Amino acid sequence: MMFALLVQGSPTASQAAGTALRFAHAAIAAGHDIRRVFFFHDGVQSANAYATSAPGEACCRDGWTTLAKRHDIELAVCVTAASRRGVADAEQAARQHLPGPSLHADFAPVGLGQLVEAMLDCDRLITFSG
Amino acid sequence: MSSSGDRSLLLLLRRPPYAAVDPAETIDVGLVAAAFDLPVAVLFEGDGVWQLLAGQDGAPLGLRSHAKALEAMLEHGISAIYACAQSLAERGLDPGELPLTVASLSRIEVRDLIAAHALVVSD
Repeated sequence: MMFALLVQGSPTASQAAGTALRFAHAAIAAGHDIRRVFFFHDGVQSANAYATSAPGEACCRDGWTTLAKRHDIELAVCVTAASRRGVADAEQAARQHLPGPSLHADFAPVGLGQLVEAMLDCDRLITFSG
Repeated sequence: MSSSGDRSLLLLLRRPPYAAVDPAETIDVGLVAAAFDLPVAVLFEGDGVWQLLAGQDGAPLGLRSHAKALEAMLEHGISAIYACAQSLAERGLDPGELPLTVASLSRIEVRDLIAAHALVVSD
């Protein structure tokens, strides 16, 4: 089965991102496919390049990037939701005169049309809200 | 662009209108989906029914008024708008006094509405 994941919960203020990551691992281990994970609402914080975990705490962002490289998954971030929360790609950073981008390079800044396309292309859309 | 086939999207709005930007962002998903010719329905449930009140103004809070988001839904052809009857009653809201034409659904009808949609996105 082809899954698309919609991650809406904060990685630090909810279980949503961690649960989504564990779901992704379990789904792939069971032989399913995940082509795109879309980060929306506070879920965009999973793409924050400047976030660091305390010793002994798992980093959701690094978990996603490792999984995405291994299984060719697109990590897509709503550019508007991200910008609103201080997660800016290079283009946004230049436009807003920010010191530099805060979106991790392995995440793609996209529009909501990409979420709708993911909805249409998958067999199931699974939402992880905070 | 992909074809919607027999797919339809239900937005499940359960949060109050001005506590977070999430409901407005979720409505944006509906607007984009409608632009993709995907059939879109909206269900207001729980504290989400507060989004339907008349005479809203988000300006004092520095927020966009939800009334404008609801108007945008209608302009994008989203007319299947539902509210949970129990959620309205618990908050003393009369469906007849809401600014939009809203179909008021029982709990069982809410369940059936969710089951009838292949895609459900909550705020």
